[in-house]
Amino acid sequence: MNPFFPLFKRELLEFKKHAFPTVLLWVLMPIVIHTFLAIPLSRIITMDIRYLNWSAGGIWITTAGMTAFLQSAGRMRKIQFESKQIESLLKSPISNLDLIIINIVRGMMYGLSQFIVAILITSTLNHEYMSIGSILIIFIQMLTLILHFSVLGTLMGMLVSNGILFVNISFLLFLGITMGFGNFIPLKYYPPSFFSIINFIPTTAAFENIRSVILHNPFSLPGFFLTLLGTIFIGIITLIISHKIFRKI
Amino acid sequence: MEASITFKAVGKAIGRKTLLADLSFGVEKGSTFVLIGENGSGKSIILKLLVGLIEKDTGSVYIHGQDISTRSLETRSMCGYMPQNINLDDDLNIFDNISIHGQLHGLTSAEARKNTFHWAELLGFTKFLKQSPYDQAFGLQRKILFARALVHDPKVLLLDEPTTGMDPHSRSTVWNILDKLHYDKTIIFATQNFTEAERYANRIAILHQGNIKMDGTLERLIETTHGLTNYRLAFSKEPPKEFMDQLEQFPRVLRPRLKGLELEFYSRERQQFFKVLRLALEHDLADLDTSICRLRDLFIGLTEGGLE
Repeated sequence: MNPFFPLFKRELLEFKKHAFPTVLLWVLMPIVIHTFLAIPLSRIITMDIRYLNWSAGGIWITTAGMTAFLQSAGRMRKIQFESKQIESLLKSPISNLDLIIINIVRGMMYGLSQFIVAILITSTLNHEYMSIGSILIIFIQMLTLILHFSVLGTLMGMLVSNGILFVNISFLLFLGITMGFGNFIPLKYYPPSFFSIINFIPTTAAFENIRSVILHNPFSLPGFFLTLLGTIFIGIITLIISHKIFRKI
Repeated sequence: MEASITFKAVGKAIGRKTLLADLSFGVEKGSTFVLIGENGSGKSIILKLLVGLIEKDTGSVYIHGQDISTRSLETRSMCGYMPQNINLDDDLNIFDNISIHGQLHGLTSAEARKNTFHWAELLGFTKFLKQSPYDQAFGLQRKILFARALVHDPKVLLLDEPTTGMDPHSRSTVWNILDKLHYDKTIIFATQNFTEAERYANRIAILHQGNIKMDGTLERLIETTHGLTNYRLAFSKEPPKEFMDQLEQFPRVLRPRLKGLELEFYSRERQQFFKVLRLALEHDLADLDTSICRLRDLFIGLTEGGLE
């Protein structure tokens, strides 16, 4: 029997148990970021289009990315370090790859749900109307980013057992996404040296793609594929590390 | 008899610490095999290795003829495992904890449901099925782990100190179930409870520092003592040092030990006991007890350097 069915069923049962706070967070996260980050910055930053419409992409990336990261890392940390549930899972006839895939897909489901809620909220708050085509392109771009953060979260959850360290890593990631990659502050405001460094990171191009769709500009396919390749690479590393960590004392 | 489990020269170490040292043994199908040993002797390691929770460094292990390294998915689905620690899913209720585990082992949703109710009823926790496992007493959590290990009707049952933390009634329920199951399942359990081991095992292995020191049926193990008897003398006040010095002079009085007001020693000859008794009567002897050597005595002897 396919192990994914009972594992998905388990995730559904967990979601049912925590549905209210989870959905509340999905709604609150974009509203809070819009209110406390985007609105104050809109009074400082000037650009050709309305800042709040431009920064909506940043809200989608931050909320969906962080949700995917925290959900996949949190679950991996919980089964491995907190509850020792990993023992009952590893005892079952499922492989390390199955376990990693289900964790990544779980993170993606939460990230995607967060993205859908965020896009609805920002569209409502900014009175923004996007064509089906634009939404489809954004959706594909976001799917890659959510996958990227979910894989990264799974890897972190596997490696970081210390709770305080994990909180700090999450905080740094949040700061990085919001402030470091041009999601809320246009990259022209950064020193040229910093700009040249982060341009080497494929994710920067993937973030830029989201904003390009909002601005109706052509997006960079290499950035999209490089992010996807980088994600696959991190996924392979995660699988290799799982063989070094799982089934070891 | 056909082998259910075979260990061939299995070794496992972490850094410089040896957990299992060139371990070889076999367990027959449909038998109950007990692992007895001190903390850290390797009992849990053997069980974890069988269910694929840890990997061996050297040697081979077979379950029903299948190598656990190359056919791990098949061998894992054959085993039911009850760990020592509670590792239930706190996001699921008791029913889902057991049912999802069954489905992960290939049961359909309906089969898992039926089996969950069956074991919950036998173990007496049907009314708690919709509650969180972590709201329950430790003994009940252990029973949930026991039901979870059995839900997919495994061929091999691996139990790590199964009745620890259970009340006497629950212990008896668990052993009654195991008594009925042992005809068509291979059961291996690790324990520190000698009474349970003597009562329920077909074969007993005494583990010490990662290797089996002694292995066989209870009768065979007892036979190896060649009629060694355990004697206990209780005094109303502590006997003087000279008394112990005199005991040292009897070469066939083995392992004399004074713990508080109680003297314990072993001997194969009744005459030796009478000699000690005569001496003890001069030093406020209050009570005495004699018994033939049991598993506990063998275990103490083997793990503490021998009774002789």
